[in-house]
Amino acid sequence: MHAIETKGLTKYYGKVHGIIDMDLQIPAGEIIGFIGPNGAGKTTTIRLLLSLLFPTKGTGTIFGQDIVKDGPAIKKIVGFVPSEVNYYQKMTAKELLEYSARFYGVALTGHFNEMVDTLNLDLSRKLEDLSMGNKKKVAVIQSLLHRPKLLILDEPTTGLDPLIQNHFFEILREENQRGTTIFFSSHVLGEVEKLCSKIVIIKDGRIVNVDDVFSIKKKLLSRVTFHTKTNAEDITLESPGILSPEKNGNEFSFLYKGEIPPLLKYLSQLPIEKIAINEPDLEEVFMHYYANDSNKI
Amino acid sequence: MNANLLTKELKDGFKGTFIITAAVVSYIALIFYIYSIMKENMLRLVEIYSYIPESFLEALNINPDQVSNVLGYYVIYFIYFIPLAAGCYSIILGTALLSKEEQNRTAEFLLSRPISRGQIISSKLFAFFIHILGINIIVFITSFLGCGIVSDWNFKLQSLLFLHIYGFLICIFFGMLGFFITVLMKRAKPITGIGIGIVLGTYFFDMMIRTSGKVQFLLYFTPFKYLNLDVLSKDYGFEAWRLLFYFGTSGLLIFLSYYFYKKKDILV
Repeated sequence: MHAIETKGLTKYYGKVHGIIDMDLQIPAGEIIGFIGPNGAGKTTTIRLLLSLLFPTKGTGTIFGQDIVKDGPAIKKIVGFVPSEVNYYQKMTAKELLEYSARFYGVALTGHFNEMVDTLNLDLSRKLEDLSMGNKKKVAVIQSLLHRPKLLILDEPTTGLDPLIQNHFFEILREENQRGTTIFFSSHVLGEVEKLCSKIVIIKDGRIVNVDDVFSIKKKLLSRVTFHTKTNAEDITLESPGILSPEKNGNEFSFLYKGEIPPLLKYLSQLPIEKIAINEPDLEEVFMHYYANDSNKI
Repeated sequence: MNANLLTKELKDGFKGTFIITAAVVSYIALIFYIYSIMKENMLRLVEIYSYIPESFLEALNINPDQVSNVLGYYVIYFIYFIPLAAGCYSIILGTALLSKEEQNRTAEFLLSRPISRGQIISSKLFAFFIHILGINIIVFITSFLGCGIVSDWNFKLQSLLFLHIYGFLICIFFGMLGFFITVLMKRAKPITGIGIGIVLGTYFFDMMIRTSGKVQFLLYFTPFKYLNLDVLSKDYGFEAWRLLFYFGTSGLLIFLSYYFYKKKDILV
């Protein structure tokens, strides 16, 4: 049985589409990344899975239960971390977590205390006084209070500092080892690849690719930026895999698709002073790879 | 219904309910205090009323023949604190209970708990009933004590009770109207101004009906027409058509609120 399965799931807001004909199968027990640029339909998908929205057409199930008819039963086994944490501002973190726990009929015991210690959260403060990062910690803890079978995370690391992010990823790995399926939505490829075995890519409301992280990473672009020692007006970047070259005085920048060693061999012939090879913005990747639906990875 | 959500709503609404109850109780104490001072001279008040145009007295719901009786005096003011003041609070509470979750964007938290839309609306409706019932019971007890003390317990308790039940029913009507308006809104938000406008506007329609025979069609647009304030009549009590209106309209609004809320996209 799949943890999440959708067939032709479609959502329109009036005439504007949210997602279109989404066929998605998330196997139980895996950590799956769900990436796409802002406005691609990630949050719409999640809100449909949680029955905050109702589909225009199509169906969806979570562990075999219908997302429209079986909402309360599904939510007993699902934990959710939203992208923006909007909880009851006048409650303290502890009051909010107790309120949440009562819905599931669970007590705040050992498992809860461990998470509070790991994430270093002050429970006595009101939510209105907490920073975005601390609110996110509250969201993470409330999502795991009832030991869910499926954890849905919508941009969960926003506001978390790198150290806490690492602790958070450790918690997620432990939960996954315990059998929890994790559906991790993000627009940052880097954090998804740290954790996920497979990635689902969504653009303009449609799934454009599903693959394992290694394959996608191999096929994705790099952003290369270098400075030359002198003003090199005669330099023209011509090599297989170089896309959209830009020149600004001594600075050159381009997207690169392919293996890195041949590129370095080519660049070594140039009078380079310093060079940086980074992961490009996801928006850039999508602009190049998914300009139209036929141009898939 | 969900006890956890109900408990939270009762706690959240306590302050507002306490303030409106305290205000109404103070007002009742004041009007009975005034009555206790004036009761020996009520005939002079009736004489003063004789100089005021009848339609004006009709508009203000004043019957000069009744003011010397404690219930007849009380009913003049009753309309201002139960149907109007508590009615305004009811419609505001009815809209706020649901809209605050969308307005404060906590609907995402609430709807991702293991609770159905039906349970959410039932819990909030039940919380509403408890708040409004609480106000009405305390106000009834206060008016009972007031009537008793100033008249040496010489008044018809049953009439006072029926009057307050009518008041409670109109509060329920306005609250259900508030719920219904909220579920129809694409992005629910508090409608305090509109809510008060609806209560006062429908009261204004009732005043017009009482003062002019030409606007009788307005009775279809005001719940005040279905109140029975004729507390001194011999056969004062419940009348089927009035009860049918309150139970029918409130029941329909509850049904439609459930129906639409269960299908509503929550846009947070």
